[in-house]
Amino acid sequence: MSEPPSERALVEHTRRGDVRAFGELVRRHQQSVFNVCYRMFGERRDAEDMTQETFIRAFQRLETFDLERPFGPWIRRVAANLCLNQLKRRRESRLQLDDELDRPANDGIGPEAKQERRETAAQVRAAILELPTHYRAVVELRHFQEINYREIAQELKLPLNTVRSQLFRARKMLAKRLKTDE
Amino acid sequence: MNEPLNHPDEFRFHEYLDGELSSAAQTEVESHVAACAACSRTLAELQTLFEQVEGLPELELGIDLSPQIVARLERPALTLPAIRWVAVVQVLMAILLLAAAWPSFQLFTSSWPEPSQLSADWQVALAERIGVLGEQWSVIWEGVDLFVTSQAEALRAGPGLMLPQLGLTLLAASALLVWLVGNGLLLRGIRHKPPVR
Repeated sequence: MSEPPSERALVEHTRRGDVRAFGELVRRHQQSVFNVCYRMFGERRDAEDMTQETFIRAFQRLETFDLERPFGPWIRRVAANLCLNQLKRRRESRLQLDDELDRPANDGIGPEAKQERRETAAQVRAAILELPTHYRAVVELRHFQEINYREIAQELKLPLNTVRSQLFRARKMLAKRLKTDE
Repeated sequence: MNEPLNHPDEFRFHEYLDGELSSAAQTEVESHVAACAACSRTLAELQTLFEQVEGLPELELGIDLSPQIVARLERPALTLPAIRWVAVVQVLMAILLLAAAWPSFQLFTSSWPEPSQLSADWQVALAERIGVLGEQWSVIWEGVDLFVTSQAEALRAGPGLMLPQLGLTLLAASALLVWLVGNGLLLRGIRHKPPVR
């Protein structure tokens, strides 16, 4: 059985004009990109549309991708930036979560514990969506993309101190909101 | 037990958990927290918040978006050389039409007075000029009407009479066709958003 092609090979094929190779990259990363978009928008349809737009944008900018680095973190950063720009265009500051429920994983825990997890997850999602757009973006990049302050500042084209203070204020707001939900 | 003074400011704990501190600064925070119950609680609360946020489970996408995305990317866009050629042809046709219309325009403006001939009472002169223009426009529209009628008669009469008028007609028709085809090609390159479900 032949091994699946590496991401590097897929990117190289795409750069040579093989759109089907890019399709394979989409299949591998669409789930994680969708989750970035869903955390930013809170609405499934918007998240699906933005997922598509993210891959279209990434395809157009594939020449800027560094082959030495993994594709996943790069495409997720493209997603976060695109979502942020779209939210700024819509001038939507705080959003509301739709009725989406986290699909339960088959992890052997009881139904009550699962229900509690789902409720906690819904509270956390709602709290994140209530953050102003820029705060949501820094939380997304720090906590879910795990990039450091300096990289966040470069990504969002903000001063380093602004990133720090936005992140700290966002966490304060999250803590307050989640304490209220208890 | 006396709690130590020099509590780190709250940002320090964020930076500590984010891994942004040097090893020396990390050790300093850890030593302080080990000896200070209040700061230990603050750090623990912050850590709990981090775990709550980062513990958010992923949602299932549920569908495969790759076919739609690949289809959008495979839709052929108009190449830059083709756009350039279409634009050049459209400009040439526009110039030809203007050149063909130039004698008529000269005839139209030949009866206009020179600016220095306008009387001081320019309002009266303007009103007169507007009246004259109105008459001239009527003449032009009568001419257009006559032209269209003559084309129809020429077509009925036979090929001998068609050439002078037909040239201008063909020129106009060609320009229109090139404009339609050119813009159609250009608009084909625009990608449409997916339809609203």
